[in-house]
Amino acid sequence: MSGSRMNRDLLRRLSAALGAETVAWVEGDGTPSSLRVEAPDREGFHVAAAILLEKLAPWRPVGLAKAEPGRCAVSTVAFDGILDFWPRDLVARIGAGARLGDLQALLAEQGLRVPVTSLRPGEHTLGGLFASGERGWRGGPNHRLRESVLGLTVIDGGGRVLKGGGRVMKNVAGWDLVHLHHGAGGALGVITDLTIKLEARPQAASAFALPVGVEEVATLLDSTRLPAAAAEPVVQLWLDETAAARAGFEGGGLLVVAAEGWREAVDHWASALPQGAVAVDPAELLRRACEGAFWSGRLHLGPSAVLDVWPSWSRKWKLVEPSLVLDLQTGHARVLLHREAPLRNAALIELAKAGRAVGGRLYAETEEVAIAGDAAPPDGPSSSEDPAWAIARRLKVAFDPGNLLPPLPRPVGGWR
Amino acid sequence: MTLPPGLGRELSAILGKDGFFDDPIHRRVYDSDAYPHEHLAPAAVALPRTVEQVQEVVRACRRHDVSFTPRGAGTGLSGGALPLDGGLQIGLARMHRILDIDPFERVARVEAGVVNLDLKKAAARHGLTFAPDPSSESACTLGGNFAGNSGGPHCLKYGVMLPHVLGAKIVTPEGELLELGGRWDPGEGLDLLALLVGSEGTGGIVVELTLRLVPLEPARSTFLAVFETIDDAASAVSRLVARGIVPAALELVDRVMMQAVEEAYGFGFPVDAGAVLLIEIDGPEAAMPVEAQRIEEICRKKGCREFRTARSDTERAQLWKARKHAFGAVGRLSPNYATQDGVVPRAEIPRICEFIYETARRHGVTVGVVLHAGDGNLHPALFYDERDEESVEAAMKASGEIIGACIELGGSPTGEHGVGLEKREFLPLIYGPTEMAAQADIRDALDPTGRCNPGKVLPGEGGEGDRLRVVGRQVSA
Ligand SMILES: Cc1cc2nc3c(=O)[nH]c(=O)nc-3n(C[C@H](O)[C@H](O)[C@H](O)COP(=O)(O)OP(=O)(O)OC[C@H]3O[C@@H](n4cnc5c(N)ncnc54)[C@H](O)[C@@H]3O)c2cc1C
Ligand SMILES: Cc1cc2nc3c(=O)[nH]c(=O)nc-3n(C[C@H](O)[C@H](O)[C@H](O)COP(=O)(O)OP(=O)(O)OC[C@H]3O[C@@H](n4cnc5c(N)ncnc54)[C@H](O)[C@@H]3O)c2cc1C
Repeated sequence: MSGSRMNRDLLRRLSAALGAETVAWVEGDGTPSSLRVEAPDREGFHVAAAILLEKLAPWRPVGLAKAEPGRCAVSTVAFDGILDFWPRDLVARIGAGARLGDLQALLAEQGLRVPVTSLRPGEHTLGGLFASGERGWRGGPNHRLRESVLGLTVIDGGGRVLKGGGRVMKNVAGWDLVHLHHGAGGALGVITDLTIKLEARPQAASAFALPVGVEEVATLLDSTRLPAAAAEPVVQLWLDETAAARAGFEGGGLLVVAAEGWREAVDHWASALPQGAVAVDPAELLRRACEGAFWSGRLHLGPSAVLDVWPSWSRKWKLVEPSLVLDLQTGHARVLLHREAPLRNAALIELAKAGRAVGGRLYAETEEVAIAGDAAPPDGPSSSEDPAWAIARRLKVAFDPGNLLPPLPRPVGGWR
Repeated sequence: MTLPPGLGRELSAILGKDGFFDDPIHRRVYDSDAYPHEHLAPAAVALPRTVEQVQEVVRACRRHDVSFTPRGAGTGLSGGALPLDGGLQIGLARMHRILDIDPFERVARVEAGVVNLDLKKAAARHGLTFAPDPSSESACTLGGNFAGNSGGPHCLKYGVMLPHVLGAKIVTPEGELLELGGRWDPGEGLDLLALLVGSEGTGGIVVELTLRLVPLEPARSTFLAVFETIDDAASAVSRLVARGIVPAALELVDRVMMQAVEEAYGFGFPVDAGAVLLIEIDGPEAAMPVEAQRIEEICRKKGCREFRTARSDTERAQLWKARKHAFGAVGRLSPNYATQDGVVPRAEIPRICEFIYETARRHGVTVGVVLHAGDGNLHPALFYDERDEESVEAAMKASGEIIGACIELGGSPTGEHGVGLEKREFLPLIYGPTEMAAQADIRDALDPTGRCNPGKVLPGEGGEGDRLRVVGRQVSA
């Protein structure tokens, strides 16, 4: 069957099963058009997955992402409500299509929140955030969506409806169907709803920016972290000179710290900060710093090594206008390039090399930046070389027997 | 079961004379963990000292088609480390080096056999600590904590094992070395690390871990809130959490357990109260008085008749002793006890407690309850005497019914002790047939050989091991 006939056939089947208003053609720019389904409920996803499986049609679960050519996008955006709410347990079951921004606004009315951050909360769905393993801009081990999801429902590539976890705070019954889908990029099924641990909003929160150069950041870091400090900040980011300038702070690097809790404690913490600290909205400041970058990647190195490698490299490659946002608590370093230049790849390869020399890695979102002479990275789940990929491949076969879903992303730290 | 003749020789050659044992005494020593109802002797015991040795041992098992079961300190409460098929026990106790602590990055790299408390002691020298604190911390290993996704009283605020694991090296059931995560925040990607944490030793042998350390908080306060009834204490717990107060620990101890503790230690605890809450907060100095005041207000509003604050480290230690040694104290009241690990939604604590007491009464069993109240994770101790079969039967029946009730109330049969051998039959009560099939899919993906810790977690018969004594398991079915 030709591609377009298959699409027409699929459109007919999906429209008949789910209602014409839930299925649409998405015209590509010069690429073949593809289908987008916005299922209204769990049953809708189940039906859609069954039809796609029967027709052997490739598909991708999405939140807001557009359809790709040749792959039907099954979107959760129409399934975005709070489905259950247990106020005394501070737990809610939420449609995967809920946008983080909308959800936070709704919860704020009850004095609650999901302890997760995003620079573009209006543009991220809960399902998308979980599936892409995003960690948000707020550090600390417990402020990642992974740590707040107690349970989920997923419809896998084989059309099975699977419920993982539950709604209790601790649960070690069996293998973890919830975390199987964390960071899986939709390659094992569509998450339809997530059961999430909520928390009460803190009584007070403040954030400050302080001018701190690269030479001082290490020392200052030590002193804000020392047990004698009034509080462990909930945010501790360092922006290099370029990132700071883009955020509107000229004249050198910038430390952004935030604390929250009881008003007295937060005020006390703020009063102990060094002179020159300016109150800021960290999300807004970071948005400005990251805006308009044409390339963004992550340097996996740890704060001290990043601070060793970064200054000389960024001075040398000024022409691509590099900037750095470093989370001092997690070591998560975001590298941004703001100006396209022919030597961009050479610059990145040099950074990747400098990183590797001290045991780190540079990733362009999902793939490591390759250096000449590297063995080819395992070509995704088809490679059996690396034990992580071998496990990934077996999971893929079990949960997507028709191989209709997108390829699995790289396992975290899974090949070296 | 005995090992194929060639395998014993190969293992001796890999491990040396002091690393491989197949004599009856060693087999007997390893025939149990802290799950009291089952004794299963391995065919032999391997005690490797290096990652390479672990790999070679696993490969040898593969060549001879022999199953193997990893073991840390054997403090597991669900029989997870018992070799159900006989087979080889691989003990990690000799891999106990702390390889590196980086105070600046707040990261520790350790071998899997390091005892939890040893890492805490080493980290404390840098003003840091390792947060997960199972009550067995002085004995249990970090590899065991990884395999069980273990928690402890302080995981209410700090989280269980998973958020503290940055990377792991695991010898797969095929003998390959799997490296996941790394030294820094794992970032995005397929989260196999999270899938393996809590997989109860079925995905291979953890040999090395990279763990996150957290700063020791500058200040800490510990309180004892005394309530007439468990309901009042439970409703104070819900209120505290709803008001945004996340204590470092929030533990409930009921009257029977208080009486046991009082009898054992004589701390002067109230033995007539329905329940006490042990509450600990930590954080910045400036937050302590405010938070303490709010906690006391809430407790008083919910009927707390007495609110004590520990005035010194000794007093604090006493309060914690009451909680941490509660089970030890039970030994004075009953020759044996069975403990459970069910979880319920926080709001259901009063109902599950009522059910526990009623069920115990019905079966003529004495029960005392300790609860990680902030998490709804309960540990009822059901008293019995193993010499009296009727009492064993009654305790096991009550125990099974309590787990069933936890599930009915929207909870789980296990919050931290794992399924192991003990709770295999309960899995189909929380998962339907499709989910059970998915469970088996994950197991097969992690271990296509089926040789690594066989027979655990999924219900089924299994078990050709030398079962020296079996009590109770059939009752939980
Ligand atoms: C290749 C790539 C590049 C990225 N680049 C950036 C970047 O430059 N800056 C930045 O801030 N973030 C980036 N991210 C993160 C990403 O933008 C967000 O996390 C995500 O887009 C959230 O948006 P969404 O909810 O609409 O999900 P989508 O954009 O629609 O989907 C994101 C991923 O999650 C999967 N997915 C979505 N919903 C579900 C579901 N319900 N069930 C299962 N799988 C689902 C999709 O298949 C896709 O793999 C990137 C992610 C990827 C995969
Ligand atoms: C008095 C007492 C109090 C306890 N309190 C708590 C508590 O508060 N919280 C809690 O969570 N638990 C508690 N436990 C249970 C137990 O201590 C934990 O589950 C602990 O993590 C087990 O560690 P271990 O080294 O003893 O593991 P073991 O008992 O030896 O093994 C447990 C499981 O882990 C696997 N395993 C062990 N090491 C490895 C490895 N290196 N690689 C792969 N798999 C491995 C085993 O195969 C087995 O399935 C308590 C136990 C006792 C006796």
